[in-house]
Amino acid sequence: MNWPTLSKRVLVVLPALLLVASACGGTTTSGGTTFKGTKKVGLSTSLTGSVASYGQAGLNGIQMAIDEVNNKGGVNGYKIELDQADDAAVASRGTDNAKRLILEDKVVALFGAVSSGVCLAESPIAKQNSIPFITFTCNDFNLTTTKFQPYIASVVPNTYMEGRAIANYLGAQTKYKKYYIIAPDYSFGHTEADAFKARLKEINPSATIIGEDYPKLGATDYTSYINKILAAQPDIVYSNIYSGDLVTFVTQATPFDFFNKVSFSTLTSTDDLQTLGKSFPTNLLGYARAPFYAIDTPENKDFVQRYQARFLKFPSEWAIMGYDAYNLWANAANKAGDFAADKVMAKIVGQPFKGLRGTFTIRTIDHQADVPEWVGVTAANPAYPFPTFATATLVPGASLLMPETDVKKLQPAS
Amino acid sequence: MSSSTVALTVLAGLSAASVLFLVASGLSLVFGALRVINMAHGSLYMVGAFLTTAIVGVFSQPTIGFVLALVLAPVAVALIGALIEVLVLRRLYGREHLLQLLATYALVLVFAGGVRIVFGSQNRIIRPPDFLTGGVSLGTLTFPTYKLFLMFAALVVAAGLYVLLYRTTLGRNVRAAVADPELLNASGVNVARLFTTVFMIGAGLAALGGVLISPDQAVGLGMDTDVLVAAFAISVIGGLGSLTGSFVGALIVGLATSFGIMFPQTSRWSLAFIFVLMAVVLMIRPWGLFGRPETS
Repeated sequence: MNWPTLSKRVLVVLPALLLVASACGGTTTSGGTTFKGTKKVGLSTSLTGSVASYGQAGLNGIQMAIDEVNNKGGVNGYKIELDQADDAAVASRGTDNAKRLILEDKVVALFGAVSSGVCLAESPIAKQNSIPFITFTCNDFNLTTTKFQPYIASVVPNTYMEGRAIANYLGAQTKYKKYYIIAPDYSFGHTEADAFKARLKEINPSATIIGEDYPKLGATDYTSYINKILAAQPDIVYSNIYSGDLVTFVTQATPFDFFNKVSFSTLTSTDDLQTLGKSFPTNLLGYARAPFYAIDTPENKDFVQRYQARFLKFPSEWAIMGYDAYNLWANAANKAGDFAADKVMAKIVGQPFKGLRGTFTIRTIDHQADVPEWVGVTAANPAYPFPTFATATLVPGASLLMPETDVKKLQPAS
Repeated sequence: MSSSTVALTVLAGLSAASVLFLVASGLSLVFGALRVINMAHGSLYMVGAFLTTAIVGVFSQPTIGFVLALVLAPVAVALIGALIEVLVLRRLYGREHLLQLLATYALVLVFAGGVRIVFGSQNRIIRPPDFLTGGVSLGTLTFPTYKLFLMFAALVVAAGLYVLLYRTTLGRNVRAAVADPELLNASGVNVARLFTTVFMIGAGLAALGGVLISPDQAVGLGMDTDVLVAAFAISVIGGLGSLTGSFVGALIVGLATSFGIMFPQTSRWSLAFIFVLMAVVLMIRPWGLFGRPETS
């Protein structure tokens, strides 16, 4: 009798294929008239996989910025084209993409991914090839500290800043004494949870962490975690799960009446608000990197209208920061009159930049922008088909940055 | 752990096992009969879920849309399955597994890109039918009604598959194909048609899993590969080609993961259990718990 089994060769190849997520790529162009020629900028991000909605939003923001700059004459007289590639939130794919974009497609700048794991893999490649690497979604603080390299610039509040912002916010509310942490099991989730815990200890020493769980990124069943948290009876849950994972968590926790039993604090992205709509919990203590409805600058208000007209949806944080990231690079390259990384970085670092979120500066020591974080409690808002922060409080970036002495200790000696 | 926590953990494990069984059973059936590891099985599950969101989106009443999706999505995906079998797999039977892996992996990429183009990148959710929302009180416990429905649905599908395999001519031929395809060929059965039918059933089962999971999680672009890994591990643990194996394998994995998460000492490793189990089974019994060794 022939019963089906697998050959050894297949058993070796199959797991490798199972681990490799899907990919697709392409290029996009925008209109323009008189240019010296065309240059490409690269974006390797998640266009498939569990965080693809964030990747697509960032792509939209960058594409919009590219088109607008091209319409004003481009960069150094060149029309800029976006060369995009999908990493599916897999670090090895990000590495492959970065190499291809830089070595084969000759991009003059590289924009960061959604996943910090991918950005950590890409950053050394940008360094080796002297290509500016601008991050706007991935935010592990190791990118600008232990793994710092001279061609990186971050326009997103990093995990140190974000963990600190939410610890300040929750820690000041002393009624919360028993904390439970749930975070995705990779560099972002861990470094942000660590920053949160460290700051919470300073703000509210009587607070205790009664449980911590780190489900994998892309987990699809949180029922056991939900049971476990409810059984532990914390005063509040600090979460930094996001995108499809947060949508799934909320969907599965709601029938347990979870959000009425436990206070919950999490990353509150416009993408997830738009997906969940009125199912997004109210009275949730949220934090956000660039909520479109709360950024009180004329540039942002105008951007929101243009974005809505083009993409028929509200711009999420990743679109706003992607837009800022591209303009930061394009302005610097124009000021430098050159695409050479050293000359462009010289016009980025230590200089003020006016973006959608106001004016910020890329700090010299770690190339981290002093961009703010927003915190607030979610409540129904008749202006939108989803809850927003009832009062969005801006936490200034300068108050959140890692002290320079600590940065120095962490950065490589060279 | 209190008794109520234990009860909830068992229920969580069983509900996870239900979905895993639905997906793994189709994967296992296809491998058993066709000897093809269908890497795109998770993609068919994803297509089923996205079709569900589209169908439900048409109706203001979620119950009507969901019930229609339960029928339409598996049928539509089974038809896609027929195309895949005829256009791609039929050329690969009898070739080495590596070629089949690569061909079906190419389909994973095609479906990932296609779903993105057709449905976009935004995660989607649908509401469960009204009578399946909220929680059911089980003594002092509350458990989501929809999760209980998932368990019921898995039992119905398991019973249906049992009847199909053991009480119909088609099932007899499928079992014969699992046991010895060459002998089946010699017996006058139209093997080409049988294989297309089996692949359509496998694809339909994948899509049914996608429909059933839609009200319980984000429908998004990563769900194809996530489920494939788990379904494949379960099929290996239970024995590729064995319906009982898929059922028991799903139960083992669902409960082991659920209990693993509950204990602080093991929660960090709970997601590795499935692979540890798979590795142990492969070492001790490479043909799986309910499979049979290949004899020639």
